[in-house]
Order: sequence, then structure tokens, then C-alpha cells
Amino acid sequence: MYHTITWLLWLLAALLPAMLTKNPLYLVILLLAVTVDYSTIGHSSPTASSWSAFLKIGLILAAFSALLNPLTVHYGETTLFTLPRVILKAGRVVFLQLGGRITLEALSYGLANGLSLMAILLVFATFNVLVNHHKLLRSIPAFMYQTGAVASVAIAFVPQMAASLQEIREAQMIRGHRFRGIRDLLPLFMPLLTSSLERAIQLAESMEARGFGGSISQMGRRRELFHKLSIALALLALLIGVFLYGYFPASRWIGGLLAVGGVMLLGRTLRAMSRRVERSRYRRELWRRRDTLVSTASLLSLAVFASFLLLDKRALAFYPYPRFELPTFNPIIGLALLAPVTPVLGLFNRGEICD
Amino acid sequence: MISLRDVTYIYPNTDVPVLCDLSLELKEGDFLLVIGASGAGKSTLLRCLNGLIPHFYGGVLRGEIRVAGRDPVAEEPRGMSDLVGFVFQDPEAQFVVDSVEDELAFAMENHNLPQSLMRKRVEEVLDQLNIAPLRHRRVSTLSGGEKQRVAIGAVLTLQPKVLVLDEPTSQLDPQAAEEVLTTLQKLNSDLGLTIVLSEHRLERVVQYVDQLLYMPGRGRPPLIGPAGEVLAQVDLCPPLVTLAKELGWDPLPLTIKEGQRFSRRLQLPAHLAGSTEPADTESQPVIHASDLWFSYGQREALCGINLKVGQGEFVALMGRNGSGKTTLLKQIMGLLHPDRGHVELWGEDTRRLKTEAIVQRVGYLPQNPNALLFADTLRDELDFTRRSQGLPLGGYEEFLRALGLEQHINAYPRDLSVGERQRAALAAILVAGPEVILLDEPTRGLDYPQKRALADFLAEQCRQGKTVIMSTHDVELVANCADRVVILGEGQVVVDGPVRDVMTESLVFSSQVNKLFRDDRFLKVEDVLEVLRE
Repeated sequence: MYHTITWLLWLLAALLPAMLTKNPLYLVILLLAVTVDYSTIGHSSPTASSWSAFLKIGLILAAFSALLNPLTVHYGETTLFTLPRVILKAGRVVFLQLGGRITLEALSYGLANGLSLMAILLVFATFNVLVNHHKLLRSIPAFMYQTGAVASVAIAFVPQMAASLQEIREAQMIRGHRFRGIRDLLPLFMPLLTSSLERAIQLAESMEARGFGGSISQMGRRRELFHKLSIALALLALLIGVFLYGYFPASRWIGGLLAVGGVMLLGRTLRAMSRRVERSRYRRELWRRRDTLVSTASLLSLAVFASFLLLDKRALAFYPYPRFELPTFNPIIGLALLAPVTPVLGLFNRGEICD
Repeated sequence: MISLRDVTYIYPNTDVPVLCDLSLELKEGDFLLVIGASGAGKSTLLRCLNGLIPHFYGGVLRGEIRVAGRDPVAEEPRGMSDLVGFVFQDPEAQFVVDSVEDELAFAMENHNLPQSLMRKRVEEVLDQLNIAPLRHRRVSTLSGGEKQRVAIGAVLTLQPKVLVLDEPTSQLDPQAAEEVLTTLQKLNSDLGLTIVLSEHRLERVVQYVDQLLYMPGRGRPPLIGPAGEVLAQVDLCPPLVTLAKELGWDPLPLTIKEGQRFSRRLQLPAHLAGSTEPADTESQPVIHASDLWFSYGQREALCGINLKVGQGEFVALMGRNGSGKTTLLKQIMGLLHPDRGHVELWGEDTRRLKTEAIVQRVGYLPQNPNALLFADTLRDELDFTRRSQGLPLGGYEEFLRALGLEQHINAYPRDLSVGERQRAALAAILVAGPEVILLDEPTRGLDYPQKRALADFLAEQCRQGKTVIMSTHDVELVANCADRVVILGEGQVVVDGPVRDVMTESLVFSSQVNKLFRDDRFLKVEDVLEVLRE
């Protein structure tokens, strides 16, 4: 329902705060935002059922982190209660101390960490549900289209495999087969393997018979080598550039120039390679007004977080040690965190054809 | 348009040629139907036309092939793709992208056609094949017939001169097959497209084709010519043609309409009333479903089914796809449990029975035999079932002979032909000796003699006191072996009665012979011959 580029921007705008901040208030807002997206736009998507699986994993991870941190970390001034201690040590070296003093600080920090993990997971889960994978794969550069097509086919294969597995399981069950050990899995996997292979062969035939992979014009050996070398060179320049920029403040300018040069060379080579692919594209995705809206919101939010990162890092941080303090709340950040929920606005604008 | 001269082909790692000195000439706009037993080389021949053989399969190819003057061996499948469109058997396995419109464009993208031209052609093809309403749909949500039409569309966008189809309807139900075959006939007559089709359902297409190619297999020379001439010499015939041959009708009628010209002249004794089958005895039914309701999430599959099946009955379960046939079989098998109502086997509720207990008395052959077979030899498959149910091994010879599989006992089951594989799966189920046999569409991809053999086998099982319930679309099979028909519609029992009554009253669920005479004495060829003999 949105352009793939829009979704990619959305992903950045949602992922950056999830990774930057540990502030539970911000993380809760973000979690709510992506949940609203999922439950309004996402639930009709064909991959919708994966979301609740991600949610479960996220909850388990968050709970694990929230429990483990206070059990193992005993910093902090506010003692909540004391548990019996279990100490693991070898000689004099203490490896791990479980239990003992449980502090509010360690609990809140564990909880914040768990929330941040869960936020990252759910942002990806929501993206996975919202974006059209086939469109996403189609927007990769032309020289990689074969890889894209393969990935696209693989995505379509997974639900088919799941369906055949169910069918095979039933078929073996009604033969009186019971699954008790590893060896009993053979009647399950052999038919699955053979039927998947048969299907793969037929698909390959079908692609071949429709001219797939036929139109990459033959590159000369030397030309291909030249492309490979320039990619390697570009990556090397980028790496050295970034290294110099980061670790040698004196040669920052040289580093910066090298990095930019590397990126430009990389772009040029990839474009030259793409031009060699003689393959047209049927569809250009439509860019609608609501795409502009969501993209602008996402870009603004990214700008807000980038400026806080550069100017006022502490506004994003949450560090309860040594003494617990309530997390701060900056209304500008709060507002920026609403950007991921803007796709919902598209629902009020139903005049256009959805595809 | 197509010319083959002395074509011989040997698959890699074998030494018996599948095609042997085959020669063939087709004019532009010809419709060629290829028939023959499974394994006779039909698919091989079709794959020669676009270079998949030898390029995809390897092997040794001799002789000369020309399609519109071009050589598929030199040009490879990719190069031939704008000339020969190829549609495969399995509607599931030939799609690359997920939406119908993108699938239609895929071949054109590969050929680097400009966007404006692609748009125009996609619109044209959508209209030609009547699939415009499907354009935004996901391929995975289409029905079988829709999928095959999209697959045809996906090759038509390159505007090929030849359309080659390898058993495109063998996985479809009759309505869907009808959709596809009607489409082909239209493409042939409206656009003059040359079509090469391999197909088991002769009765649907044989009247449209210009030439019929019969491949007997095993290196014997093929027959080619007008449909009537070829059918007169082979035994892969629809019931109408079989009857016509028996009675010496000439020229051979290919449609019911043509047949009626002869049947009206036939002197048949007057109909004697009162030969209905004995009424159901009041003994305890083997299977008893009462007020059975079931739904998959939101979708209601069974809505208040009542069904009693007694011992030794042969029930055919018919109805459209999605009418609940498979669900009902799974309910009887205890794989699913009713939301409301009961299913009882020998008076016991399936909810209270364990699957293992049901399995010992009820055998179920699922739709796809490939889901069942996994072992290295057929013997291992049979051993596996016997062992799973704690039965002694061995002594399969007689049992396999009844199924015509005795020479395959050491064969790798997946190497068998479609019909043999179906019977191998049946053997793997029946070797445990169940009292009730459930079959889910057992005739997909079988030709007439194979269906005949299956019908005879099942009828024999029934005579031995076994109860058979078979879901099927195949009217001829039902006419040959069932004694009761239950037609489901939207999860309800629409019709339930003796096969003769149901078929004579219905237009759709009626066999060819019955359509010809519209008389409840005549369902199959033998019925007519018997009456005439008297």
C-alpha cells in the first residue's frame, strides 16, 4: 500500500531510536507505534501470522533480560529485597553471583535493555509484515537481479514447504507411523525433500522456457576482471578512509576524501554493471501523496535523532546507576517517535486503488 | 510450422531410446493432441520442441527438429522462448513471482521489451484469456484452473507462434479442466495459434483437434492422423468411442451429438420397471455421521452432514472443489474432529478413538501419493506399514498381483509412472488389511485403462466385504464401480442415492453412455452390450 522506498525510510526511522535509546518511556512509545501499525494495516498481510511469533520471542527475551540482570548485577543503592546467594567460583575467583541483594537499579536497567531488544525485534517484525517482499527484492540493483529472483522464489517456497510437510505428516500418521526418535523422521523428510526437488526442477524448466537469465550480454573476461578489481579498490578506499577518519584526528580530511572517493567509485562500477543487464522492468511503483507524507515524517524523525546524537547524547540515554532516577522525557523526541505511526493515516485516504 | 525428421532420443544413463525415428509435420494453426500411456515419451517429445531436451536433461538426440524454420537444439530454450510457449503439468510449481500481473510480465522482462509494449500486451492477454479480474491477485490464492490459465497467459505475452502444453489439466478437477481446454480451443480458432497438447481427457478435446498422435511407447512406431482414424486403432478411448467400436459405428462419433445419430437407430428392448437395488438393511452402519459441523477458522466446511454407510457399500463422494469432500474423509479418519455432531465408526465416537486404533481398521489414500512414498523399494514401503501396525511381514506377491504391481516389488517407488505410483500408495495403505477404504481423488493423471484397472480392483475389494468411500470428479469411474452416489454442495449433502438414479436425473454427474441413451439401465459400455446380446 506504500512505496517500497517509503517502507525502507520507515524502517530506518523506527530502527534508529530502537537502537539508540534505552529510555523505557521512548521505547514504550515506539513499541505502541509499531503495534498500532501492525494491527491496523498489517493484519491483512499474508505474512501477518509471523508477527505474533516475533512478539512471543520478544516477550521472552525481555523477561529474561529483566530477570537475569537483577539476579547477577548487584550495583545500585536502592535495595528492593535480598535473596539467598549462590556463588560460582574457582579458587578465589568469583565467576558469578546469583541472588543476594536485588536492586531497583539493576532491575530497571535489565527491563530497559529487554525493552530495547524487543523494540528492535518488533520493528523488524512489523516491517516484515508491512512490506511486499517481492517488490522489495525487485528494487535491488539490476546487476543483482538474478540473486533477487532466487530470493523471491525462495520466499514463495517456504509456505509451500510448510503445506507439504503438513500433508506428509498426516499421510504417515494414517499409515500407523508414530514419531518417537530421529530415525522416525525419515518418512517425513524423504517425501519432503523429493517433492521439493521435483518442484524446483519444474520451476527451473519454467523459468528457462520463458527466457530467464538469457539476456545478460556476454561480458568480456577482461571487462569482468576490471569490474571486480574496481569494486575491491573502492571497498579498500572506503575502509581506510573510515579508519583514518575515526582513529587519526590529524588526517581526518584525507580519510574523509578517501571514503567519499570509495563510495563514488563503488556506485559508478555498480551502475556500469547494471547497464550491462538487458532486462526491462514492467512496473514502476506509484509514488502517492501519502508516500510523501510518511517519508517526510520519517526523514524529519531521523533528523531529530541525528541532531540529538550529535549535540545532546544524554537526552537519549538511560543509566539508573548508582541511584535510580525516573527517566527523562523530551517532548521533541516523543514527537519524533510518532513518525513510525504515520502510515496509519493512509487508512483515512481510501480514494486510491490499493495494490 | 513444426517438422521432426527421424528424431531419436536417449535419456542419460539409459540405453533404451524413448523416441525412436519419430517424424512429424505440422502446419501453422494445427491443433495436435498427443496421447499414449505414461512413460511413452509424450513429455519428452514436447520438450524437444523448445530445446529443454537436450539442453536441460542431457542425453543423446539425433535427427532434425525445426520450429518455424528455427532449430531448438542450436538456440536453447531461452532463445526459443519467444517462439514456443511451454505450459507445465503442475499449476503450483511454475510461478516465479507472486502477483498475476507480474507473472504475465516476467517473460517480457527477460526479453527486455519496453515498458509501454509490456503494458499493452498484458492488457491484451488479460482480455484474451478472460483473467482481467485476477490481475491484482496473488498467484497462491488462485484456483487450479485459474492458475493454469495464468500460466498460459504468462507465455502468451511473448506472442509465440506455438503453444506446447504438457498434461495441463491432469491435476485439475473437471470444471477447471474444462476452463483450460475451452481456452485452448478458443486460442486455436481465434488466433490461429499452433497448439501441441498432451492430455488424458480425450472426450473434452478430441472434437477440436486436427491431428492425433498416439505414442505406444517401448520403441513401437507411433500413429498419427485425424482423430477418428487413430482412435479406431488404439485402446485409449473414451467410453463413447469404445461403444461405437463395439457396435461398428462408422465414422467413429467423437461427441455425444454425433453418437446420438447412431444410438437413435439402435433397436433396444423396452424398459422393464422395478429393478431397483435392495433397500439398505437395518444392521448397524459402519460409518455414521450425524449432524456433523466443521469449520476451518471462519470458513465453514461441513454444515450438518448426515450420512450412514453400511458394510460392503461402495459410495462415491462427488461435488465441486471446496464442497467438503476431503474434510469429510478426514473426519471419518479421525484426523479432524467435528465442531458439532458426531462421527461414529462401528458405533464408537471418533473423538474417543485414537488415530492408531482407527488406522488399523480404516485405510485412507490421500490425494497426493507422493506424500506417502519414501522408502527405497516398494517392498520396504509395504514392510513399513506392516511394521508400524505391528503386523507380520512378507507374503505380498498375491496382493501385488491384484494391483498389477508384482514386477515392481523391488522398484524405487518414485520412479514408477503416475498410475503405478498411485497404486503403489494404495498398496502401502491396503497391505495392513483395513475393513474400510477411503480414497481421495484417486484418478488424477490416470488414463482410461489405468482407471479401468483401479475400478475393477476396488469393485473386487467391495465384493470381498470391504466398505469403500471414494471422493472423485470422475463420472466414468463412478459409473463403473460405485453403487451409491453422495453429492456434496457447500458442506451439505445435496443428493444421496443409488448411482443409476442419480446419474439419470443429473446432466453434469452423468456418464457418456448414460448421456447417449438417457436410460437408467445404461451407465457403462457393458450395460448396453449386455442388453443387446439378450
